[in-house]
Amino acid sequence: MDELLNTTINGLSSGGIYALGAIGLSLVYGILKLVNFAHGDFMTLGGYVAFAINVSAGMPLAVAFLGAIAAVAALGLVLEFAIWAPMRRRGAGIMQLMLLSIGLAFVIRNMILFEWGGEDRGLDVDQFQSWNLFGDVTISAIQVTVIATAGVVLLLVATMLRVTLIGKSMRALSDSFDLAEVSGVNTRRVVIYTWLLAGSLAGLAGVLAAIYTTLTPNTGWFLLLPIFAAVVLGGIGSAYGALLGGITLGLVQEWSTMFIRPTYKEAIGFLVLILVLIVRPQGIFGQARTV
Amino acid sequence: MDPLLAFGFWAFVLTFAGVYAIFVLGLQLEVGDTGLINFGHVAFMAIGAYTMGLLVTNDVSIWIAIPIALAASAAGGLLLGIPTLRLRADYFAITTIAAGEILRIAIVNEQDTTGGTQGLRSASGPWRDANNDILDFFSGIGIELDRRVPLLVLVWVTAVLVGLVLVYLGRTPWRRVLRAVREDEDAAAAAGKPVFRYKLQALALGSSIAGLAGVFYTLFSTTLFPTNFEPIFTFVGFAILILGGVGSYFGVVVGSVVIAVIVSGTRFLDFPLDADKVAALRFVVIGLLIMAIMAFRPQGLFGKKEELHLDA
Repeated sequence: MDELLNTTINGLSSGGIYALGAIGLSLVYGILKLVNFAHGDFMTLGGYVAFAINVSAGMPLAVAFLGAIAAVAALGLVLEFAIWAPMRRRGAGIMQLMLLSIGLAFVIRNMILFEWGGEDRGLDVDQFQSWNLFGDVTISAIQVTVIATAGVVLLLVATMLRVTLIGKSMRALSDSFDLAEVSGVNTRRVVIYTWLLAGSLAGLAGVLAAIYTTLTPNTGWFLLLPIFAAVVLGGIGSAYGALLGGITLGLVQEWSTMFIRPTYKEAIGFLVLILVLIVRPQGIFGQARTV
Repeated sequence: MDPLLAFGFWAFVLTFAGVYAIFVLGLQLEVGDTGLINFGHVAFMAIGAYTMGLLVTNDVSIWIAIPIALAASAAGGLLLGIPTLRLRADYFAITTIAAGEILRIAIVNEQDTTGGTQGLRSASGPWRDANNDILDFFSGIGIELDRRVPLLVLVWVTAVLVGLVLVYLGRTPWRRVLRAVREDEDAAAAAGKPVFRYKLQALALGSSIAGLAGVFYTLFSTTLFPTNFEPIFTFVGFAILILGGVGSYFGVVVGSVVIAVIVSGTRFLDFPLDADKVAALRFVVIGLLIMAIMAFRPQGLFGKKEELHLDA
């Protein structure tokens, strides 16, 4: 029982990070038909911006969070205007955009490597503070930070998507771009807000990943495949699905360590990804329809 | 030593390019001819390399090990293809990369068999002795060769042979059907072609060519590490493919030499920077190259625009 609770705490921490990354990846995939392989590197950049603010400049962690979120959101917006919008105007295909995003991923990752080097970095947080809840169940200060931050932000995002006009428009566009457009949705504006949302959540996820694990130029890239798995699990294009898919994946990975070697837990994520694509490509939480 | 003049250095770079050329020829068959975007191609190279390495370290003859390695890679292609080839192109791409990562994680974990992160040593078996025999033979007739030359020649002869086989296949009805599948799957199916079977054949053949690249990679590097088979290897392969041109076998050769020179051939340039920073800049250049080609010339240097199908 204690082991189940401990793995659940671990799973909620990594799942929260997956979910934050997955919402943006899924919305961009659904709305812009862009399989963004650079999304993981957006997260890494968020981590390093936080590192620059929090460690190099010695400012408080809260400032680092805000700085990282703003920086990555701005990057998302700049790239939309510089690359993605012009490419869409030329009628680029989904594979062309995907390969372009792989090139972009190389560029961002290696510019980070150029600027900050390859060694492990961490943020200025207390690595050792933890509390024994009861029995053998413990939770670290880092896990509290990650679960609380991710939880609050995910609730806010879910509410935003459900209640606000822009949130509803995003979901509508992801469902059917053309139908939403003829219904009078201002697609330009929604696309901009989508990038702002995807970028800021990726930046936040990157900071949390830097706190929860270590920060290297590959941090985001290693997170990207599990995040793809979360997106597929929730049904591509569905923001709620991505949220639930991320948390589910985090829990499944950690629970699996009760039965198999912990070093295989990443492989569990990929196995889930393949099985879902083969058996239920609309995702666990998606509805069957022609895609 | 001035590396510009050092023959051994360039032999190293060009051997590396030759391994990549074989690897990307297999990728070209899948991506260029059949329209299968396989992001997990490196997994089949890993199957070939580790199958050969495990057999020769267990005293199996290299002449038996190599065909088994190629067959194992082809079997891996079938195994992956049967459940996944029915998926949409973007789903297929993501599935293949995930499958490749599962294999790599398994190689890391099963270290009692594979050596894990410590590496699989002496995986090239008797190659070093054979190489010495070849060098002795040539010095016996008065020609002193650099010790890297035999593999360089062998890898490029093989690459050219594989290329010629693929060009020959290009004149057969078989590849005409593959290209028909790439152009319009439904039309090919309506014309009575067993589309799924053709895709599966292309994937199996492409995978065994990747396995062959794995065999040469093993001869080249002697010790195998799981980190040699990360997805980035496939992505560099894609950079070669799209630089040379989707559908062009000649482009593969040009692309692999250009990319190999960017990746390792620029080591002789005396940058006023740390080695790490220069390494990072190389991949920035490759990334920018991929982006520029996709944005301005998606058919690559030698590809034909009308043959380009990059829609899902």
